[in-house]
Amino acid sequence: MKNTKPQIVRHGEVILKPITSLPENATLKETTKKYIVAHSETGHHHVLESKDTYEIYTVEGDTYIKLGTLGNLFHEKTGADVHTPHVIQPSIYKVTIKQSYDYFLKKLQNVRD
Amino acid sequence: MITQLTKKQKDAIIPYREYWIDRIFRTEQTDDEIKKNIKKLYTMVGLEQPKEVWIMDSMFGVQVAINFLKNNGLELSNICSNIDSNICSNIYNNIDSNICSNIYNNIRSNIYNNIYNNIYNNIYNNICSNIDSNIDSNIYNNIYNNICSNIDSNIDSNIYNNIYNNKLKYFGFSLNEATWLHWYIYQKYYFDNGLLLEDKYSQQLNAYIEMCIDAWAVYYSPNIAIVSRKPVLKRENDRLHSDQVPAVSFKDGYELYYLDGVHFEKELWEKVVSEKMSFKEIMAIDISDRRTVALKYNHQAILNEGAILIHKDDRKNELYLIKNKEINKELEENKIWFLKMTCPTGRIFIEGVPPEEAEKNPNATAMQALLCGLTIEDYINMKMES
Repeated sequence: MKNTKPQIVRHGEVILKPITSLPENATLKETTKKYIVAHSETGHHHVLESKDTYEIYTVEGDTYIKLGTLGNLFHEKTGADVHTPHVIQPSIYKVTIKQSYDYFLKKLQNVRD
Repeated sequence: MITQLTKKQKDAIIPYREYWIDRIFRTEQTDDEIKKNIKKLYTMVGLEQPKEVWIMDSMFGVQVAINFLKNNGLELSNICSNIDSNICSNIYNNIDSNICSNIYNNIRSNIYNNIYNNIYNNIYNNICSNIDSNIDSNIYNNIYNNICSNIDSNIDSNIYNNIYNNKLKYFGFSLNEATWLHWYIYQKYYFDNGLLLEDKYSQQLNAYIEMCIDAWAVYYSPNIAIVSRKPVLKRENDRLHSDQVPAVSFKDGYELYYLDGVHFEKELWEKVVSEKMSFKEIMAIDISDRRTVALKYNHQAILNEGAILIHKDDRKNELYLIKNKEINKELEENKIWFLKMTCPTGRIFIEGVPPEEAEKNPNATAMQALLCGLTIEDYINMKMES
């Protein structure tokens, strides 16, 4: 039997973590069927797509996704070095971008590809 | 309804695809033929032919030309979507319904996957979108490199003032081969291999392919069409790649450097392929994909710094420490910690770890969890990772 419970998903530098509810002060940013979760300098974005519209919220620089139906998280890239896609279960997710410590700037920075 | 392909039809699929990929990258028509074909294309979609068709030596040159004309008051409007949608509704849709009613589903999807998807991936995903996004994102920097530094002394002051001082703006254009040809070559297979009989739509299809196959990128406007010549491309494993020469070079000297499909500025590309980069130089690269390629070409850099493996886990995370080395003085850090990890795609990444955290818990799993913004428990239990 397939596991339909929302799970933590890592897709390259993108991490989606299911949470039980949105933060109180979350603001609706957009409703969409296709959202670029992480932009890539080389055009190889990490994209979440669903057949139904879903909601993107922001609060204090963080992004949240409220997905009502199944979604597909995929890498807009082909050939080698492609992150395999994941089926994303309906839930509310907090989006985290992986970080790396920059010894030149002496601080954590979001990973960019 | 055709329910199966003959052996001959099956065997023809891959060579057919390879022939067309090769043809798309090659220019066979003369400049005059390209100009005539572009004019014919306007007629095909019911538009008045443009008075001028300019052929520029690169996609960058097309952008310079559009900027120059706009800055000098010429009315330009991008009508490529009108042209594309007209061709789509008058040719593609008619043939597509013919294919759907005559060819069984499984056959269609086999041909679709092998021809349509493969050409799209080869031409658009790996080539055109890379070049286009590079021109889009670097267009202003490229003014200096391609105009000012090369021809500054000769450049007409009018061009200089209009383009340099006003800065270049990016204008979308139609990447004919990329955006559309994979659709039409997919359909052409059915006619060329006896699955559909020639008809008026197949004639229009052949005419359309002939009209746009040697126009690499086109800015279509009512009075003028501006076309780019094709670049010379170096590819390996269907990705732009060369560690010897620019992977993309246009006739006017506009060049782009790629390794394993990742774009590099020339200066950094030269450093990477020299295989003499230091660990510090690699860590200073801000884009992780570039850092990964740099590490691949300069794998000795870590060993040269005398990094010590402190801990590794069963998820291919390795925590390293560098201390008492020259780099510690340069970065004013007594201890430099970093994770070396193999991504599920097979690439090796290195990422810095906050020294105070690594000092408290010198554990590769814990540091990976920290960088992912997860608790150790969440990270260990995470099953969906790619």
